[in-house]
Amino acid sequence: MAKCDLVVELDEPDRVYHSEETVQGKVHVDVDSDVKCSGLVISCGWKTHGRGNVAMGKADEETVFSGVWTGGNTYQYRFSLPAASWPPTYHGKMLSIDHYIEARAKIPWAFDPKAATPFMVEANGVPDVVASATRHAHAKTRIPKFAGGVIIAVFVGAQLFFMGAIGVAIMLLISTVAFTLWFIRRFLPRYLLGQPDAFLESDTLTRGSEVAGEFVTTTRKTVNITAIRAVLRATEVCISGHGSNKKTHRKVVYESKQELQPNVTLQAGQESRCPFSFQLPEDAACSVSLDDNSLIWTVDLRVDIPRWPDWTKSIPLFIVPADFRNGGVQLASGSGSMSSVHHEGSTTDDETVVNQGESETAELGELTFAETVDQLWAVRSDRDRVEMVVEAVIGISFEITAKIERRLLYAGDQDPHVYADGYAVWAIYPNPGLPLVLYVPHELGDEFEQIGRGVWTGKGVVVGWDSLHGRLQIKLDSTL
Amino acid sequence: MLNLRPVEKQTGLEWLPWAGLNLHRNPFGELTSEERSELAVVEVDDWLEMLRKPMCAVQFIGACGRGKTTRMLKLRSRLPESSYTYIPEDLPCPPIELGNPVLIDEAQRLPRAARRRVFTSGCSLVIATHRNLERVLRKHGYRVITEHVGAGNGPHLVLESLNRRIEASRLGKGPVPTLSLGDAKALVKEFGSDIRSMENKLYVLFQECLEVGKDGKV
Repeated sequence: MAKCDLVVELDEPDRVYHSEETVQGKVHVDVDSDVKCSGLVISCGWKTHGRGNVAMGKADEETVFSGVWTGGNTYQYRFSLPAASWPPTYHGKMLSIDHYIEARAKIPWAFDPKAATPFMVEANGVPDVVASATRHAHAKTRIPKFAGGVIIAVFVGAQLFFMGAIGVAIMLLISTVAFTLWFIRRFLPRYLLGQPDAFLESDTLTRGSEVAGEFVTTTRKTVNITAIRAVLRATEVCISGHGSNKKTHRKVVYESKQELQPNVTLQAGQESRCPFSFQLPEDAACSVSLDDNSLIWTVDLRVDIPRWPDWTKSIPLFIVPADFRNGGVQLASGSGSMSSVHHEGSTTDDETVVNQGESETAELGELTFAETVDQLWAVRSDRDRVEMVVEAVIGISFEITAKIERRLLYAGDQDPHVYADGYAVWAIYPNPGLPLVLYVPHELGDEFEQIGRGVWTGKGVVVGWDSLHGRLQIKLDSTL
Repeated sequence: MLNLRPVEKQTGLEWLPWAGLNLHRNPFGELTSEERSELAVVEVDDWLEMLRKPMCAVQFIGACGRGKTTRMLKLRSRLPESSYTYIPEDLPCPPIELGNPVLIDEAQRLPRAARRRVFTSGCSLVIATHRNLERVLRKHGYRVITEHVGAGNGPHLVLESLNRRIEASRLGKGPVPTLSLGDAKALVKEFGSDIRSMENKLYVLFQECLEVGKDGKV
């Protein structure tokens, strides 16, 4: 088998690149016999490595050569590609993020030789879509709660239905344990402390800045407290595997503890305030949420009550990079949430989408499928915005063009759109390549059979968005 | 005893934590499906031949971490017309694409309706399962080839498989850490045929070596 060695050489391997700066270098190709290459593709992107399932993204790529390499020769190809704007390079214990220039030679009927060289990226700011995704990741605790509720309901139902009196006894036992836990962990601390709460002045901060907050309560009676403690923590959370092999790994990578008030007495009926403040390290890692890989910052408070269950609260915190061009990240007043992070003089994408939605409604009759696809393509990384656009076009009939990918044998458990005797087809819009799922009625079956993997054109109605597979759902109707 | 002797760092890449071992990452972290398939030490030619025949089903049976999914991914990389579907444990059954063949991971979780659609499709099948589905497949007219995965995970295969992972994390020219046959035998003695547990242990060992700056044997 012919040898085909690739080496990626960067012009400045130790340089710290900022968002979208150009990375330059050359790829060396060394072959010992003639090799036909259908494309030498050089790409610039990032990848996570460590304990979590790999997340990756690509900033740009270019094909610099296709043809035949003659044996015994060495070739060089220069490249110039923009670095991705997010995420920044990070090296932790369970999670690491690196940016790479990768070269891959596409060789017909053989494994593609490839080589990659890492380079360092420092982010200037958080792209709005990323900020939104991070916010979602930190707010995801609601989903497990809902899922937990459903599982409990199913379990209770099954117990009662199949096991009768024994089932009732088991349920009573489980309920008693659950109630006791809630009573000890939640009710008792609150009963003693009145209305305890803790908050941060701002939950979105840059490296090196001050995390300031306060614990506030008004007790019903005078209470002696052993200590009020606050801990600033950064935790890597990585998920590996899927289904029954799924495992969550956690590792605290930064911790700073403070004992705010040792042996304090909270007087009955008086509002007690206990401020706290931490200095974030100058090299603090940014908060990231990349699929199954997250770095989460929190301030964890604990009120240690003698001979009584402690009161605890964990407050999420978002560490963002300072914008080196504007001299700091701009935070909106008020909540200071991640969604409000944007650069000076720019319009947030949220505003853009709303405006687009308004103009769609105004010109609904003239909206084409191509325009709809373009809008979805532009916001495809942000689920909220995708759903907003889809919501606006549900029920509208379009002239559809779709390149057929594959018919589905089984369309899934919860797909109400499939025709009783029809089937679902995965397809893609030609340009940009937005994935689609077409619900095909029985009478169009032969037509699709003949097309194979060609391009189909016809009428269809948008019926929704398949968020699991990122596909626009379209119901075809032969009568349209 | 795994030898993690430091090497001279490549000029310009001193900032990379793993450069001291001539690696660009911990070799035993999670991999992409593509990487898993490329690094798999498994021969699939016989199965490819069998799958050319109609109404043929290949099933891989074995416990977790033995290599069922790795075999599926390797087959998938060699069969461009195939489709691959993983059936999750606690979520609704996902759509199953038509393919030649159809590859289904964790097939024992297929709900009744989906199983009927798949098994009556007449497509060639490759399934990974914890439960033997041979009887059901035969009932639907399939010729079934069953492979019990894990039995062949001896020290030599373990050695090749784990050293491939290290090699795939190479940073540049020069030596990288390697496992010896003795290391592989020790791992097999500790974990049996469970390669995933071996990888987990090695991940921790490599990470410890990096964090405490050990130079030498782990």
